[in-house]
Amino acid sequence: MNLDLRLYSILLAAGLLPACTLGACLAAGFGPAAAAAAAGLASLFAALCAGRLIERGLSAPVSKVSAAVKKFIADNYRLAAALPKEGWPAAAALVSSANRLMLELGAFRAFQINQVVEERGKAKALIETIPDGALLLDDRGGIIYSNRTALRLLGIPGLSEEVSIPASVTVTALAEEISRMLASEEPYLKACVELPRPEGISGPARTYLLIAAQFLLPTLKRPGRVLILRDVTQEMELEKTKESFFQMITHDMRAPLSSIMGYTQMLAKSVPKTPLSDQHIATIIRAAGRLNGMITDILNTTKMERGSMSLSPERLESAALASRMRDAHAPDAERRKVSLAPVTGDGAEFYGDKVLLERVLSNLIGNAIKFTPPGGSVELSCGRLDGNVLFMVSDTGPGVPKDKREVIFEKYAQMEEHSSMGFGLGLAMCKLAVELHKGRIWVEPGKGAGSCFKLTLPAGEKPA
Amino acid sequence: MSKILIIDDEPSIRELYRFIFSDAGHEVLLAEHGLAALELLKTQTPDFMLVDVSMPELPGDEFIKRLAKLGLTDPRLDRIPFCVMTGENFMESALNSAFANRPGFVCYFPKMTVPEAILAKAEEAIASRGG
Repeated sequence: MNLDLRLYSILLAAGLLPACTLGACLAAGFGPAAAAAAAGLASLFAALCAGRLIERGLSAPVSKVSAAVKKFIADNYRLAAALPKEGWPAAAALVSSANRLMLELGAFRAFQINQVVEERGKAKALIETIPDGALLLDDRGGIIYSNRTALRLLGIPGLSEEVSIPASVTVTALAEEISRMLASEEPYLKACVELPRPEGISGPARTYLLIAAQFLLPTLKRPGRVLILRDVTQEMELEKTKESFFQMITHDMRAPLSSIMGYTQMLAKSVPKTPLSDQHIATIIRAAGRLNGMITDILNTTKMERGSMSLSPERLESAALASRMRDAHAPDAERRKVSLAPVTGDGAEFYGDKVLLERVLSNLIGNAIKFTPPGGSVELSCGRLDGNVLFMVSDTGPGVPKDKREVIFEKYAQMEEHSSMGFGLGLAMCKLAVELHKGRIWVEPGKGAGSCFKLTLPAGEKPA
Repeated sequence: MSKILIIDDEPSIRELYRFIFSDAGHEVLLAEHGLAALELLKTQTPDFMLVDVSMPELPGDEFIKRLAKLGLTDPRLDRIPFCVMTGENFMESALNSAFANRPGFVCYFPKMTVPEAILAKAEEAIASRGG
């Protein structure tokens, strides 16, 4: 029986009982007063019974549900025990639904909390183990998360509501650099900061690499920053040692190499000419020339990195420069059975350091020939691009994979398969030299699987 | 009326599934981890089990491994159908720990799957076993 029908039935019965009692009493011969009294009692009885029935069947279970929900909330969303199903079917269904709702809510909440605690624990374990300082900052410099290393490096004794970055950083050099980074709109920044040793502690200064990257947490709705502090003192020391070593070696190698080249050229003029002696002397001169080129590249790279390289610009013509370098490499190309066509395209006049640019083109042409298999071809062309002078060196070699096209211009970077074919400085030197001329150098895919190295240099007047 | 064993270390999850399954007319047994479940199985024979993966004392995969060994000598415990329940963090390890090769395995459920879906699977597994 549905709830409405049940209620109406009870009320109807409660309403009818006094009337029936009155009628029965009158029919039995009772006087009006007695009949009315009996009807009154019957009314009272009917009301009490109806009330009791409704209370047991409906209002009591509903009140219990209401009390249970309040207790569930007060007990932090835990239901100690499900309510017994009692009352009329409609009330029992309400009790059952309330039980289900509270149990499911409690289970969901417990599960989500466990997940959050677990993820936090994992993140914390990882971040506290890494040797770098790591911080997560909101857009106002408030610390969302920090590992202990970061706090130690920044000179912050502990976390509290008042702590913020860079205001709470006690290491001046770091505070200044972090201020600058946080004020920038750039999404990714890197900087090196040298920190003297604290007073009383001996040893060299420490160098830290700071990395600041923007991030957006969905809940923050404003960009924050990840800040990483990495001690790169050892790497810097190693870099300096490597540079000094290279410098020392190349300086010491220059003198004997000059003797080899000089005396070989004198030998070429003084010994009786035979095809074999000509071939041997040419080989010595060529090898010495290559070695000299490599030494020059190393020395130039060091000078340019230190900012001590000064250009000697003179008026040059691109097609003539490219042709000269093409001719210098033609014997090598012929020996390797690689076709090296004459320079194509339109030349243009510009200002540049002839010696440095010859080294750049020599590196590009030399690499193209070195990495192109026999039967392949290398092409040189000149032109214009966006008002600048353009040089192109393309080959039919194996090409440069997309993910290596930036990194091959870095020092000591080489493709793994070419690691035995040089120091990995040639392209780094080319990039430094071209950028010193305010130009640009890059690599694109060439014909088929090959590469096409392009560089642009400003055309026009001699730089001031 | 079938017997369903729920093995999970989280009390609120045990209570939720006890409510759902008993409301559907099943007798529900509860265990808070694998060791407690093995103890319970000495005297009870469930028709279906819902097994959590990540539990203290004895996690789900170890429990199933031991139950499979017991089932070799005690036919009562052989091939009891079970579903594995796990939070997302452990889903990969659950899949990798070869539950699927154990006798009785029915399927995986990620945690907080709608309980009716698990109930339907349980009843289907019990029916096909002849329970």
